[in-house]
Amino acid sequence: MIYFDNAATSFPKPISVEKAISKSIKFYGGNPGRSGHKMSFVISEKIYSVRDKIANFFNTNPENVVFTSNCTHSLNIAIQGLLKEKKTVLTTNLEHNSVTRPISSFKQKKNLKWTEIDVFEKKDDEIVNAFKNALNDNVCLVVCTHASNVTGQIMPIRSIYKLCKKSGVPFVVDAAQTAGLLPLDLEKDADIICVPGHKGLYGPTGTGALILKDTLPPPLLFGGTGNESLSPTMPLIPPERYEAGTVNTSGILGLGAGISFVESHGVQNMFSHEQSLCNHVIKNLSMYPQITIYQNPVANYVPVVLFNFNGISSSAGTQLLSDKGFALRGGLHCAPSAHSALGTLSDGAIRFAPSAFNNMAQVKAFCNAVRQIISNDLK
Amino acid sequence: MQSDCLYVYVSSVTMAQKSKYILLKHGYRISIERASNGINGCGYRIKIKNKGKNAVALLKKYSVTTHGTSPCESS
Repeated sequence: MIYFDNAATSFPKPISVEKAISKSIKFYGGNPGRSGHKMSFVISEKIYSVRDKIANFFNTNPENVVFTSNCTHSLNIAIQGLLKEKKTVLTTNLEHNSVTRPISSFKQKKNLKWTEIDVFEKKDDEIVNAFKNALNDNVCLVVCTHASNVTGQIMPIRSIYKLCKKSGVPFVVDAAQTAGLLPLDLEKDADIICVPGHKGLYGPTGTGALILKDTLPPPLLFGGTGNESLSPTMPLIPPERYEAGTVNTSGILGLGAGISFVESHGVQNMFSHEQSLCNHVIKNLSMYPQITIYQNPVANYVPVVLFNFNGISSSAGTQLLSDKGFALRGGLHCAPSAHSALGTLSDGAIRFAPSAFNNMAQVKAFCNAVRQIISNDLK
Repeated sequence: MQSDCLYVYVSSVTMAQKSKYILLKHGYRISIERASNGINGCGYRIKIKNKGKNAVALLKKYSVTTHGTSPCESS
């Protein structure tokens, strides 16, 4: 199977990630931050070194890095903690369910105004202007994807953050599709950045991070943190404030190795490599009138290609590709509003998402399989 | 010198590790211990074996929240 579903989770993982996880299970058995014996201190130091690595990667301090189980977990801490009754939340209309469901859940129980800004295939300055016009005294929170997980369209987060800062409104960025592919800087890009560990950072599933500075939502989970145990409440300062229960030590050490892998290649190089693969796919698939590709030259995109075989559903298309040995994701990608904007809500679309491990030979084989499907399976 | 030795209390393992990084980088001799006193039940204390008083100011400069100090116990 040739894997092109890296926007869902990256595969394969670097050998260094495998080794770090294996080493962790074999040798680092202590519970970090809980005990005074050597084994606890050893794993504490290892965990801190990954925290420090992530902090450097996103230009902040180690204590501003909270380990979570995935990007959705991070977004839930931020969104559930910062929404306020009788206030307004702004998002784009390309958000994933990890953003829209926490907001919907709050809205079902409490009075909340939710404005979804239409950013679909808009130019950056139009997007920024739309946010500028929507920001007012009643807005309590702005949540924005850095890049759509459906189309790959990149949002001008730095400019939106400037507006939010000016208005004193917390700005949360969903970096599920961009962490490891585009530079992100906590000082310049957001008050809170939510990242998965298992996609562009090449860590294992079950890892993620909430990266924050002065905007501190209340904790979502409550429990043991290994410190201030006499207090009935969670500690006031991060990261322990948000890390109730034992953290995923093996996963975190794997994530650390994944980030080292990204750093060793360089974020820009990773992007360029994947973009060159996508460019080949776009060039090749554009030749066929039986295929629709969903990209607009006015917008900027991360390296994904969204397309459909005309006349069949995306699930049928991905099944045909799977039968030929290619793993791609069809359907709605947990982002119905993006598909609504795209006009693909009924049948979804097929997402081609490469990683650092894919190469041009695989892409050519994929294009060849597409050609065969058009010749043999479409009428 | 025992008189230069100082325990600095911090509330969390993250602050303890951060302190360790900073202090070692600046040439201090230190070790970390689990502590149950002074930090709302449990936390950590950093044994700073040299120039203890300067170390506290250094940690504050790097935004480490400390929870008091105590002299090292004589061995």
